[in-house]
Amino acid sequence: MLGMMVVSHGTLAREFVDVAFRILGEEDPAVVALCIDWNADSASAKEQIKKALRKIQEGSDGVLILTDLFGGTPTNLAMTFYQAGKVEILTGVNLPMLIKAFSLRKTATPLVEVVHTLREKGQSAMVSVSEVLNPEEGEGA
Amino acid sequence: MIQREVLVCNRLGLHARAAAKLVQLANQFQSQVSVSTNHMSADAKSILGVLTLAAAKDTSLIIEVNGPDEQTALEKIEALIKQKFGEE
Repeated sequence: MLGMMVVSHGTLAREFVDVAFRILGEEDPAVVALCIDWNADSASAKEQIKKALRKIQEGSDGVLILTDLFGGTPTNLAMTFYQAGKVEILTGVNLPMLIKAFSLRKTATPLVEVVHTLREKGQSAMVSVSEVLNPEEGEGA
Repeated sequence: MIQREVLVCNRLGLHARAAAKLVQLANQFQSQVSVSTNHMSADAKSILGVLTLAAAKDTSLIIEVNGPDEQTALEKIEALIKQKFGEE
């Protein structure tokens, strides 16, 4: 099974994980929400990620880190722990992606494939209501 | 393969938590389960799939079940929807 961590600015990670738990109707203690405090210095934030990562790595087949924003501090810090196929990072976490991740992590799908699927799901789950309601009028209608 | 038409009767329609309940139930069965509206069909074992149906209250759903436990699956799923997903 894959270990999983959501890392974000502020309290976003906690909220994302809590909302997903609420929707799915079950908590998964193996999913860690890591909120990087606005005032935290990067060394202590990095240490926070390192500690959580070590814990999750025990007995897991790999770790998936979902972060909020490419180029932001949480992502930049998480990237220092990147190990191809072992610790993979996907940025721009959204709720559909997270819900999909909860089910995929329990399957035997390899980590790299999980990242690929989640990226696709996260993007395809963005829906312009206008296009759904007025499909014949095309994009931007 | 068996199928049945069921009306969404809870106030909020097939929203996230209701969809999650439907998916959890569908996953308890070996049979393949699909749920369709007039416009679209989705795998009832995928929460994101079910949500894309955007089925509001009074939407008519076709539940289609195919497999060894199809009868029980269809009955339980129909009951869940008719019982308003236990919400009201």
